[in-house]
Amino acid sequence: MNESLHYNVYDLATFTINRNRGLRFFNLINLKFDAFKVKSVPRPDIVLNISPFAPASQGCYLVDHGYHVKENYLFCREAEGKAGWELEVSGVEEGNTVVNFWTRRNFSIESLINPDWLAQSFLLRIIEYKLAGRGSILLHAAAVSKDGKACLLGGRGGSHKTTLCMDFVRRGGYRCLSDDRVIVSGNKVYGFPLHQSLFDFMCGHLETEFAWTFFKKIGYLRLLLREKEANHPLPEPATAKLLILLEKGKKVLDEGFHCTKNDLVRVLACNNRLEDFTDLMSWGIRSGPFLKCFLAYAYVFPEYLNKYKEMVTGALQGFLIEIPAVRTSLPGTYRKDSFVTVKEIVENMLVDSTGGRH
Amino acid sequence: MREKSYGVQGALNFKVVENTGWQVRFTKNWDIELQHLELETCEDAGGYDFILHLGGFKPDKAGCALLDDHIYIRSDYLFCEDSYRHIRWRMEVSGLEDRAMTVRLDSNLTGWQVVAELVINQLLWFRLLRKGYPLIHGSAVCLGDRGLVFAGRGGAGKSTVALDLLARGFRLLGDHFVIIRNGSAYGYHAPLHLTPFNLHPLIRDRLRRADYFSYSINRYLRKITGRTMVTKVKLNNLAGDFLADRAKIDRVFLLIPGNEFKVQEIDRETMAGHLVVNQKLETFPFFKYMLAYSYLYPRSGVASFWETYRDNLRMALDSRPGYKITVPPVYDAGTLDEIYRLAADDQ
Repeated sequence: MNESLHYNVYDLATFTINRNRGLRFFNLINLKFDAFKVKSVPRPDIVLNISPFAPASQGCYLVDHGYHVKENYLFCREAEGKAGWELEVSGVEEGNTVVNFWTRRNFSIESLINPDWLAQSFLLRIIEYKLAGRGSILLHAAAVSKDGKACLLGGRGGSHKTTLCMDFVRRGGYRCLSDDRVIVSGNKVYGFPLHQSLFDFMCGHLETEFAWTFFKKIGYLRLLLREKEANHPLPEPATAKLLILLEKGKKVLDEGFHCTKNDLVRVLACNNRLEDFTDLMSWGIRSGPFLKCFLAYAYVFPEYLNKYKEMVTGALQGFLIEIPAVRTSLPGTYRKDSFVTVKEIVENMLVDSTGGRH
Repeated sequence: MREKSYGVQGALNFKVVENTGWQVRFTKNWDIELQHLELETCEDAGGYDFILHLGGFKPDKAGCALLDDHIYIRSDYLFCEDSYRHIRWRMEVSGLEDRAMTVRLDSNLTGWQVVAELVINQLLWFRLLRKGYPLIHGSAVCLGDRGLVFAGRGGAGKSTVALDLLARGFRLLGDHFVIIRNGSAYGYHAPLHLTPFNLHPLIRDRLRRADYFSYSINRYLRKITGRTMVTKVKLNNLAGDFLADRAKIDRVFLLIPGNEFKVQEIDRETMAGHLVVNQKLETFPFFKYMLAYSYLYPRSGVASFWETYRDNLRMALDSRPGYKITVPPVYDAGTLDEIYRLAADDQ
């Protein structure tokens, strides 16, 4: 049975997902964008159809034997790790975007709980590009806020962003806008939570983000089966006041600690692109498939790459110009004073509104 | 343990030290690719630009930041343990930004087929650019001093066109890579990668019997398995004198498979744009390591690498005209004739 799900991201972008309803048991974790669900959207910017389709790939250039590219259009058929898929995007550069996606085969255990993650992972990248064209950047970073003032925590996987967010909520009285991705537009930060129920469960049951045990996992699965619908209100956007970049390691970054704003633009852009390689690792996909699609299109239309880079650089520079940024490293294993250290930096910066600029 | 020294056009010297068991000796693709660069002397006065050690090793990970659980980075150093499909490798790079770089590479059995060659290509490109010699993934031929470069992704027909032009009297600068600088293209005489698609009858006639035998076997295997096997043929095993060392770049062509034959003149900026993305696609999956290093050290040479590549390309291409040629999915005699007309036209 087909169903249409509609989403509105703070009026910055709207999209619709048409899919086969399938098993409803794990919708809480399978449907990543539930936080933005609305009843309907008049003209969605992006439409994603998760169903078999016939590609309209006549008249295309062929790149690397698997990518069919023409003006404003891309089709590819790929396979890696435990999955094989087909992706078609009409409206790559301009106009409303229609994405057709179908998973030909999928042998991972994850696909039982998370069957639509692959499709939604590509959709997430397309949302990122759409937002970039409108001057908003979807960043791979966490954000916590208090009294309308937000602090962004950036860092690669394993830099304890999620655990810090958990502690900020539990021990600091902050609100967590998101533990994985945020949208920055001007100097405002909007949370883009992808697994709110998982984060709430971890706050209530786990010491740190890595303290999963077999029984805790069972507990979470039972929660998913009990609660069919997400009932978390979208967090209020806040004004960005500080950016902290976290690295994992004892003594690192010697001279790199003090970054200029231009350096930070590059750092944040690299951080986003590195996610392309790590997001799908649990499916055995490590080669950054969406980045390859993007580059295949940019190979035929190199002006697109330049245009995109300019948009992102401009938006990031606009965002970073106002807020101070700090780069710090935490020890490899999370300790109680890791949170205390970061909290001190945040409180100093948020209280002191005039100083602390890099 | 075996050591071999190599030199590239006097611009780069490097050494490969092989310290593995029978696994690497079993698959020697990289060795064949580099044979044309072998040097007699062991030590050059200026030292080696990089040394590559193949075989097991113990990394020195002290003081590194750990990214994504498998990449260790500190200033001028990178170590990673990674995999892609059935291939697994461990790679350590010290002296990333130094005059002298040391790379250690270890792989699993099935990986050696591919990884050593991939890493060597990346290193060559990386280090040659540092000296101001951008490398283009493509073929090049010349007539007299007029050089023509054919760039494109795999399957675009670069080899097919180059071999066809050879049969029409051109000389070969290279089939796989072209090194360019200051408006000139330099020869890179790596072995030909022959497939049933690009083997011109004239070239077939010049093959040694042993090479033709290998080619026939691979062609037969392709009929049964459906996989195209490449036959590598060393250039000095081909009868006749058709190699060239250097020529001034007259034209640069970008070959893209599409629907029907079409030629479009493009400016230097656009051509450089195509070539940069071409190289980015070529760098996968090591692209990730460059991103990781740039993330931690945004002011390093690695972080501004693509801008450097683009600038060098622009300078090297000078103001030579560039053409984007859309080629049909399957080449026929008509296509090759059209390309020859373009190549021979020396306006």
